[in-house]
Amino acid sequence: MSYELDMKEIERKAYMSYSEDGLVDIAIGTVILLWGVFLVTEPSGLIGLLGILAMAIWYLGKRFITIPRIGMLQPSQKMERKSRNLIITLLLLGLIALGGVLIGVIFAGNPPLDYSLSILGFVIAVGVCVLAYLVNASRLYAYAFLLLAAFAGGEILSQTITAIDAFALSVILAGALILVSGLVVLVRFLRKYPVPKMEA
Amino acid sequence: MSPTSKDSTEKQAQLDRLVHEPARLKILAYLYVVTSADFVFLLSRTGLTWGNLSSHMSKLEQAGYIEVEKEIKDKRPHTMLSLTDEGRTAFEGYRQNMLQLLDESQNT
Repeated sequence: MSYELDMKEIERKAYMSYSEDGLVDIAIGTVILLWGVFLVTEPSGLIGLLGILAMAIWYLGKRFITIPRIGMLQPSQKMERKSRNLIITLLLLGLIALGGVLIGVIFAGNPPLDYSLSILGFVIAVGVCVLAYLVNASRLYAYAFLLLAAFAGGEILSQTITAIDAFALSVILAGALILVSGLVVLVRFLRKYPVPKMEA
Repeated sequence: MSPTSKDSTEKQAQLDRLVHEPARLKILAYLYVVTSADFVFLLSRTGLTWGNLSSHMSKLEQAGYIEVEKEIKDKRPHTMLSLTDEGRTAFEGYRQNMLQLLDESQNT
C-alpha cells in the first residue's frame, strides 16, 4: 500500500466515526415508522412535526452521545463543502417528504398518477442514496432499497388486499427495521467508544 | 559506500525525529486532514492514553508544530489542537522523505 493511500485511510477514519453512531438510521427509521402509524391513525397535524423530531434526535444524540465519546473537530474545507451538500440533501429530503404528504392530502383516494406512491418511494430512495454517499455509510444504500420496496410493494399490495391498509403496514415495517438497525449500530458504537475518563 | 546507499543514509538522517515517533506521527496525520480537533477526538483516533497524548502534545507544541487552545465549555476544560504552518510543512517534508526512501528501497 502506498503512503499516499494511507493518508486517504486516515481521512476516512477521521470522519467516518461520526456516522458510526447510528443516529441517522434512528432518525430516518423513527420518522418512517411514525409516518406509517399516522397513515393508519390519521393525526394529520402531527405529520409536520416529524421533520423536527428527526432533527431533534440527530442533534441531541450528537451532543450528548457522540461528541462526549469521540470528540469534535473542525473539518477541512473539502469536508465542509461535503457537509453543506449533506445539509442541502437533508432539506431536500424533508421537502420531498412534505410534498408527498401534501399530495396525499390533496388527492386523497384519487392519486394524479398511476403508482404515485412508488414514484414517491423512488424519489425518497434516491435522496437516501445521496445521504449514504455524503455520510459514507453503505448501510444507508440498503435502507434506500428497503424504502423503495416498501413503497412500491405496499402500493401494489394495497390494490389487492383491502381488509387492511397494506401500504401503511409496509411503511411501518420498513421504518421499524431501519430503527432497529440503527439501535444495533448505536449499541456497537457505545461499546467501541466509551466516554474517556480524565487521568489524574 | 555506493551513491544510492549514501543518498539513503543522508535521507534517513534528514527524517524529522520529532515527527518520526509513531504516536506523534499519528497525531500529526489526523490533524493534517482536519482544520482543528479536540483532545477527545485525538484520544479516540490514536488509541493513546490520556497522559501519553498529553506528553506528546506538549513536545509538538514546544517544537511549534501544533497550536493548543484551551477553554472552558459547559464548565469543563476543552482543548482544541491544530497544525501550525510549520507543523504542516514538517509533516509534508517527512512524508516526502519517507516516500523517496521507500521508493529507493524498492528499486535496490
